[in-house]
Amino acid sequence: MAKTVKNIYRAINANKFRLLTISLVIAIGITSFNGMITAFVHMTRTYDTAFEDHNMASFTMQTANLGGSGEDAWIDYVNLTNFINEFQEQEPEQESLVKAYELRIVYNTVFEIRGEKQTGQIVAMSTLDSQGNYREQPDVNGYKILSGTPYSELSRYQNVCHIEAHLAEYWKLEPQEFIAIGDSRIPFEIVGVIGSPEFLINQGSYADIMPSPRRFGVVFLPLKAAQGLLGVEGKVNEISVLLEDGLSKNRREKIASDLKLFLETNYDLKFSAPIDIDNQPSYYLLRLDIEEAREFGIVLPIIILGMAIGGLYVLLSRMVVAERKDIGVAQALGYNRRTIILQYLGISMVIAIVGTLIGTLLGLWFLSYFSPLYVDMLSIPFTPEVTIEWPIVISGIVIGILTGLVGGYFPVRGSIQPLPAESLRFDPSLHITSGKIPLIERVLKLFKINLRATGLKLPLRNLFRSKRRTFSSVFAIIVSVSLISMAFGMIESMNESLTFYYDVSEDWDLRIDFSEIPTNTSQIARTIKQNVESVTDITYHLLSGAIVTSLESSQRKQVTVVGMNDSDGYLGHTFNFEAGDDWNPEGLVLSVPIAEALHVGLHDEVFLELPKLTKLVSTTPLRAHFELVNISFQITGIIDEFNGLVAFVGLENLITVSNFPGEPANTILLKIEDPTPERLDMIREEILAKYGYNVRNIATKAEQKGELLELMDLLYNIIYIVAIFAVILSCAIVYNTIYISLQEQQREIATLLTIGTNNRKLIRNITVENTVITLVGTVFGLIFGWIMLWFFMRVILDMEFFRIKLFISNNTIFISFIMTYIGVLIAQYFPLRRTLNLNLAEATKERVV
Amino acid sequence: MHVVDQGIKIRLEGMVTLENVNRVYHMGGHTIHALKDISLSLETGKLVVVLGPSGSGKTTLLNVLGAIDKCDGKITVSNLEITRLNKKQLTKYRREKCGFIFQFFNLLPVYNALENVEYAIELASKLSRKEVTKRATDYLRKVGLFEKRYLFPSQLSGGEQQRVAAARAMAKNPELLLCDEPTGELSVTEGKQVLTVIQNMVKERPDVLTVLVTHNQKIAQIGDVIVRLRSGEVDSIEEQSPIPAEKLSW
Amino acid sequence: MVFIEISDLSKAYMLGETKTVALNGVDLEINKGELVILYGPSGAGKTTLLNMIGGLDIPSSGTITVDEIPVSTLSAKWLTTYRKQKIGVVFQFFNLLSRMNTLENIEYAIDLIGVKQTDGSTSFNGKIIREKAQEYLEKVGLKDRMHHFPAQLSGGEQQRVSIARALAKEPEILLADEPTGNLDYKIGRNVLEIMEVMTGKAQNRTVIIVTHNPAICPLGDRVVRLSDGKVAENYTQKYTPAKELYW
Repeated sequence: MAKTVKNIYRAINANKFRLLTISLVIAIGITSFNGMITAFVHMTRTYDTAFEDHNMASFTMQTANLGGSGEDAWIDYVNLTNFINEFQEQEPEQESLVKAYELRIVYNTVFEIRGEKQTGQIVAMSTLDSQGNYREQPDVNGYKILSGTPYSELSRYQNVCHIEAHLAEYWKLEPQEFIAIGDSRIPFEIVGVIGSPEFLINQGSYADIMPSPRRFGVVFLPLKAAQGLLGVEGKVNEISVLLEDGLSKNRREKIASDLKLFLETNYDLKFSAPIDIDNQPSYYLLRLDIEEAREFGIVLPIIILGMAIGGLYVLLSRMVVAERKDIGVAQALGYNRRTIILQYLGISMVIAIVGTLIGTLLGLWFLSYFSPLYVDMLSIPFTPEVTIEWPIVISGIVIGILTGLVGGYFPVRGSIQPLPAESLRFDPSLHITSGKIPLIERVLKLFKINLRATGLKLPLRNLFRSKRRTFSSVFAIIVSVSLISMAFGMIESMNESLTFYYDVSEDWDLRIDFSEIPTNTSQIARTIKQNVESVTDITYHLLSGAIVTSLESSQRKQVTVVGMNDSDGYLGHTFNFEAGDDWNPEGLVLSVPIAEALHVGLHDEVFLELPKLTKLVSTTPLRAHFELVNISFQITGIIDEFNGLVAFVGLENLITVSNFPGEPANTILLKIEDPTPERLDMIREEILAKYGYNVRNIATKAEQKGELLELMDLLYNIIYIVAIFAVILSCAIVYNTIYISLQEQQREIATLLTIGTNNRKLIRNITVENTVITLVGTVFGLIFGWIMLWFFMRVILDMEFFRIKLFISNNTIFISFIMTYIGVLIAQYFPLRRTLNLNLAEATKERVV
Repeated sequence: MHVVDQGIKIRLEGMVTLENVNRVYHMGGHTIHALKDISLSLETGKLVVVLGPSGSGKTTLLNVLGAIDKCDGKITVSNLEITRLNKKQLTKYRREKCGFIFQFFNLLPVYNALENVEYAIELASKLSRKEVTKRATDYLRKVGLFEKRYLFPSQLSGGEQQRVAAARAMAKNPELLLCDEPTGELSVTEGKQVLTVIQNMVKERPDVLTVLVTHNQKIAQIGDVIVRLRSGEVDSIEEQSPIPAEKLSW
Repeated sequence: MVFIEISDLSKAYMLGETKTVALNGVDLEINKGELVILYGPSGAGKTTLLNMIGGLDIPSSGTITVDEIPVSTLSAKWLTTYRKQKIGVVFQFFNLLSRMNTLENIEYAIDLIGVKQTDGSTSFNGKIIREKAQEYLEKVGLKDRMHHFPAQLSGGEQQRVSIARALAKEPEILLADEPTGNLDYKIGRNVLEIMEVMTGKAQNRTVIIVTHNPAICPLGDRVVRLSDGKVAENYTQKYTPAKELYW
């Protein structure tokens, strides 16, 4: 036994570099397994703890006319409390299920921070409990104070606020600073910065493709202060309900709709549809995100460990062939096959164990950085508790060891001859020779092409001499090319989609967003065009969120509806139609993911749930009462663009169905002649000076793109890591395979050198052979790379809000080939150099028969 | 040029001359003197058999003649001092002047018999494709393998493989034919065929010097000259009238 | 007493795609304790015959019986046991395991069967095995080289280790395939002397030495000459001690 161990040790020591490469592959596989699966567990736990500890609402229900005024916008706090209590009494079986509820104000408004405008939301909750006593935290939707202090008993009489972490981070706001809230810009003192599970991802709706605290900031107010600010004394507009733990979504939705029905029928209130916790934007996105981490954590290790098994298979089956003599001797002494198999299995196990250990340690190390880094990148104010998950670590170890067993046992068992004489007689050069003229050569002969024996015939024959040998070499190349092309394909596809989106789809240079919707937009546009120099085209859009439905599907999809003005033939947007060919202001243009989800195509009918004005309060700013109506549109185009959750309609059409007064729009797009950054800046200043009172933001395209790129940073970093792994992996596998191939041909090469073949010709032959293998492998590698790219982006990173066109460019093809080829040349260099310096006298006499 | 008279005809223009050739190497703390101060002059047109037991240095002698092993001293092959050549020149020397027959045949397994011979011819000459094939075919006919010229080494018996190797070695018109235990892996019948082929070649080509290494005294009878080696030294050199290989038995 | 009985033994095997007939109807009887020289030129089938006797290979037809064991019909598993219990092999190319040092090479063989104790039991104790391996290394005069690896040994030394390895198992049958084939004359003779001493008559061990060297023939009690896969000659003689051999 001790000898077997020693023998394994020495066998490994003799081949340590090559064996280490396989260990490395296994290590990478196990690292990714440990890192990602544990990250998934950590994140899940972090989020769950955040949601549970802070009593995240099981559902929320807002008044039908949120943000408006009148009866269907605001409800009296005391009345509503009574109604809900009544509901609980009338429905005793559901009563017990409601743990707590909270009546709040949720209101979209504007802030002024450091003299700049900012849009966002105020969320207000009472600082008193139901008995009228002061409390630090609300019963539902609590929060964590990150800096500053909680509200005091007196806060409700003061203009104080808590601001949400993302907003604070963006503006670097600290307690004791002031921000102005609302149209009348009432100053509020910041008493604290808070993290709220409701806004873990800072997002108003999940239709927003670029959540940014610049566009959506959240400020928490004491209820009384908010009521004073908005002039709605004693009123609220939202109910948040916390139910008992462990209720199914169906059950939650049943209770929500019961409550809605109860309140609407008995008290003539109007609510929009309740939003279940699962559909809450932040919650939904986080789930989606960590689900991706988990899928990645399973698929990536499977791919990498699959490669490790392949590598082990190639390495060990050929190691056994190379050491057939020692095996023969051991058999002759009386060792049985099993013992010998065990010995080689031991080698593969050691490789696997070393790889697993490195991988486990790396995984743990990676983990202590990964989860916090991830949380930091999303600016999530809840720090994950990094613990070692022993079940995952142990699974990782088991998986790693299984890799060694599978990769080691089969090739060894298959390669050991049953009789020692056969092992001693066995000639590997015959073993790797088929002794046939390859078909391609016979075909060439038909065309009178006869290769010279000293020419390319030898590498050609070598390529076809053994299926197994060539296959394993091609396999190595496939691994390499597919990984590299997948990684670069990902980066390029995303870049290309982004570039296309900003260079082609978004046809503007400067974009003005208004805080309040002006109703005289065409007039504003005209004035700007007349007064501001070098504005060549100008148009305006009305953007709003809406739900799209169809008769073909039960899905309800949230999209951004863009009402496009096209009076001057300038749309500010260039469509990339997948179906349909022209913009029709009467119809509706839908993005591919939505069309797919709703099972609709060109000329089909879809419904947009749009607000319809019922009562106008004021035109400037636009304040009105709305009801939601379903308007039917015919699809006149389907577009394949980066923004996957969008629908375009004609602005006039939208104004007509919504019954809007005047020409409302919230975005103006400008096309500038010679848009240098300096000129854009100048125009920006000019517009700010004239229309600054209502301008929320003026952005250049570069700025918007930059914002998006920042958001994608995490994804890019992951992909770059994958790309680096890919290159290391492929070099390791290619090196191994080529090394063994050359070793198997040692006697032949020595013979060639002896009979006078010069080094150059020999190097050329081997290079030609490896080049052909690289080319063939590249073709298949690209196919696999494409499949993997598709799989990762479509199946795993299923992101309908980023619609990314997948492709592998010529550049990527070139880079994958070149990087692999360089790997091949490096890989052939060392064994080749060794072979060229062989002792010919000995190498030609190596006894094989 | 100083040549030590070892009992054979001294010719200063001797095809191959060795002067004070030594080969010493170290293995695991042992110093092995494989060749000790060997001086020899060998003539073309002869079959020189180097006879000696294992470890006598006979294979080393062959290796240094074929420039696949290094040594101290001076070796001249048709006025070319090969002990002074660089690596590249040595390759050229082996390519153009030496034909090798190895104990283990060492044919290229991916080439059939004809291609194996063609390879050597192409290496050493600038003949056209057609001429190469013709010459290779001729040589295979000479060794009695015309019918089997399209077979691969794995489809040939050991004796047949060795005859292909002989054709390969001779077809490139070498000045030196070096045979290292060519029958070592063969049965008597097959071995006799191979030796007959070698003897015929010697007869046909008076411009070639053939050196054959063997441990078998019976086989040594086919030579024109027998050089006996013992512990790295020349024991004796004698000329004899060769016995045709087919008449031998061992 | 007939110890090894071989009748009508034939062996053909494939080398690449070529069929090679190595043995063609061999009949042979060997007595216990005999030192047999299996002599013949290359390709005569000596090694193949030796492999059959040693259970390293199986015949195409014919039978081998060794000490009443039907070797030619044993399954692979029992052949392994047979090799383990009865056979010691010395190869022409020494075939020491390159990754083990001298001592370990011998221990590796003893590990298989353990060491017989005076009380009749068998010990697999590492220390006892080591002592026995050292004892055998001393017998071949290489105790000072026990930590050397094969690559650090000369051919003769490797062959002596190989002999020690074969004999340390104390097999009933010692098979040696061209033990002097790759050695200088003096060293070769020294190897034979060692074999002679270590196998000596007193041990009652059957030894078969394969050689192509006629000068070694006098060493045997029995000389069997093979030619083209057949027994060409088979005679017994009074043996000559190794130190009197010359070639």
